[in-house]
Amino acid sequence: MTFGNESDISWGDDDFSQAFFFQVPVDYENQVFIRVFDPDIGGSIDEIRGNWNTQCQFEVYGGEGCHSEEDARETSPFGNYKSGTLLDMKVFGESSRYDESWYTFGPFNPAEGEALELVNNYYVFKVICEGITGDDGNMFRYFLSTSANENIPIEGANAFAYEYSFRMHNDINEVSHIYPYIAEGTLTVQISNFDWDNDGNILVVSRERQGQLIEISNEADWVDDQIKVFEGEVGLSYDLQMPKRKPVLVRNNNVVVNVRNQYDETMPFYTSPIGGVPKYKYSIIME
Amino acid sequence: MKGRIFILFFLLLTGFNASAQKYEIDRRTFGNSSNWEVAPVWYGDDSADTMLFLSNKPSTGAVEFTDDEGNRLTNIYIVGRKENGEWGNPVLFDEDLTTNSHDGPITFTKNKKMLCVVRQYGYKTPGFEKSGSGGLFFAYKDGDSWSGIVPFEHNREDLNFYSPFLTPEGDTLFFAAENMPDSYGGFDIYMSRLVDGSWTAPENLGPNINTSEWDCYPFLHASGQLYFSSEGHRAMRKDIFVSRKYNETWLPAIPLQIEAINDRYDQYAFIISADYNKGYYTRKVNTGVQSDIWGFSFPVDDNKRIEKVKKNRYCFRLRENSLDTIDYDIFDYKWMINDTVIPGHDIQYCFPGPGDYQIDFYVTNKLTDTTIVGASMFFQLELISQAVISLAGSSTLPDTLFSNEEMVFSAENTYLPDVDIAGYIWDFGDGTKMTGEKVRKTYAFPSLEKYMIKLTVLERIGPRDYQPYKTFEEEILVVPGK
Repeated sequence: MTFGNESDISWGDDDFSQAFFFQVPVDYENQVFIRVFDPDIGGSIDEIRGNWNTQCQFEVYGGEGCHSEEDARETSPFGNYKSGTLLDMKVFGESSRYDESWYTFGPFNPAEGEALELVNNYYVFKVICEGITGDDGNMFRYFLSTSANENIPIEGANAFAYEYSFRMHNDINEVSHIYPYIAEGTLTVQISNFDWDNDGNILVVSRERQGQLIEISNEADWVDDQIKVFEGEVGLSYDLQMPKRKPVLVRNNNVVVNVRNQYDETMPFYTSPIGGVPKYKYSIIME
Repeated sequence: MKGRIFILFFLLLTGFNASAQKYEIDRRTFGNSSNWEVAPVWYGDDSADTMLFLSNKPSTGAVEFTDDEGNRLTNIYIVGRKENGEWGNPVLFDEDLTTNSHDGPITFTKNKKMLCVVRQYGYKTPGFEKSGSGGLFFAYKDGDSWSGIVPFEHNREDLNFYSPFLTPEGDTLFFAAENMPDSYGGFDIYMSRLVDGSWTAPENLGPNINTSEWDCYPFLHASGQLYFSSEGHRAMRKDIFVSRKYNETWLPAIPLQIEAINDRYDQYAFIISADYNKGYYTRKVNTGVQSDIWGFSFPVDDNKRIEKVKKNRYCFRLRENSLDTIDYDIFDYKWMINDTVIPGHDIQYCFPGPGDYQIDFYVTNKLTDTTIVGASMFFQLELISQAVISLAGSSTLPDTLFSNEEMVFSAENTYLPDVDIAGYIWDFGDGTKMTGEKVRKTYAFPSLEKYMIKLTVLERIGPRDYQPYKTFEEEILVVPGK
């Protein structure tokens, strides 16, 4: 979810800018497409404030520095966060053509991304969506595809972000998940959340952690909570489970989450958790 | 009324063992079956293959000595077992100990360096008119010969001492005596201790042992049980009785609990091995008929494989091993064992019995409203492969039992699925042995004592062959009953 830059942060977007990264395995030799669903600001999915007056700009970056630049990996759009080579760009406003439809960026040669060794060797692309005007909320979705016209996943590919601004489910039985990756050398993890507004809980689950509650924020507020990393968690992902408040539904609750290590470095969270969805490892002792 | 009470008490003490015993009892002839053979003793301990006994076999010398009634004299003979297991030819034990009168009975210390023998005061030789009563004499092994024959310091010619028994260390002497001033009548059994090189004054064992009738041939077993022969205690004739000390007092004697030894004839001079597996006694059928030595043995359970009976365990603690937090605000835990649900993350559960069990540990996340099977395991609960000593109708043996209370012991809960069980041998630790899956047993002595019950399983190895498989033991405490 990205709001126009004239929005109130209490609506759930702290900086009206969202960067997403897509990684393609280096041995993938075909072209790739970055597709966006409902990129326009209008229609039934997006969040209107008054009238539809918002425009969002989508920029696709590759090349050296698009990820490795430090500012690119920060949680706020400051400094040289638009690092790398601009490969494509489009501005969307209210558009019936792209309302609840797909727009495709590309084709891109994977080598146009920045070559990186994150967990394995990848090429990385960055997509920044910013609300450049207005005060409405733009809810959209990405897909990294081998095809311009349909969503065909690329084997071994993944997507990640360093800060995630999203809308919680409008269903009290639904649970949102994000999966921060715990890299080698991580000793402590700080989980920060914004504008949770008493809508449920955040639980950290891992192989070693059954479910640890994290402090949640109030309206338009940031809260940081720190946990110690267990040895068995390194090299795997956390499952940040975000169940809704019950029994009364809080609708259209937009929130922001980011994760940092003990060096205050941002930690990525992946759409496909590295090491699989973490499940606490129970064991039975009989004595 | 008093007689009826006595009879009731007597019956309670005997302990009815039904037909479960299987001692083999037969006549054992060491020498010529036409001779009188009595009062057998082991030469050394009961593992010795050498016995001594008294016999009136004819003299090999030129002169045949007789007693006043014209009976041939008894002498002490020794016999050893040959390699083929048969007894050899008995020979006179020792020339130096042989007199011209009745010799014996005789008793030895365990190390065979000291003996006590009965000798008559008078010697019947041609021209000698009087044969007297007997006294006790000690002898000590000196090289190959017995020397230093010393009279018991309490010998008197007006007293008649007989059937001595020396304890293995030689520090206590039991014997029968007649004409003692404190006698209850006939022969009584006395005890004397060797203290600082002197024997204490003979001490009558009291009315629970001695009667107004003939009480003789004491034998103190390694367990502390005293076996003796008596015409009292409501014996049929001369019977074997047994007693033991409790709180420094001899308990009222009870008849020997080995069936078929005490019968309507005379039984006396009883000895039994420390493990109760074998023994001898003297039996005389009728007056004028010679006495013979009889032996008895129990089926061999010489089994070195002994195990304690272990309690089958059905109750366990089940817990989740790795929970970093136990937060019932967030999670609910429960166990599903087959179809049984037990809430909690750390539980005590008693399985109903042996069998297969699927154990699942369920976790419900109350925040996300999801339930998962956190962990599972398959558990096979098996009975311990062993013989089980229990009371009939129960699966266990109580730690404490009452004396004077008949109980039916059972091996019915034995679980040895790989053994073809041919039978069981019970050893109740008090000298009682029986065979059978169920046996009746009364601990007769009203004393606070521990007994180790041993149950030997016999394994079938052929149509009529079996061997001891293993012995299982369990200790109980017997307390005085009503």
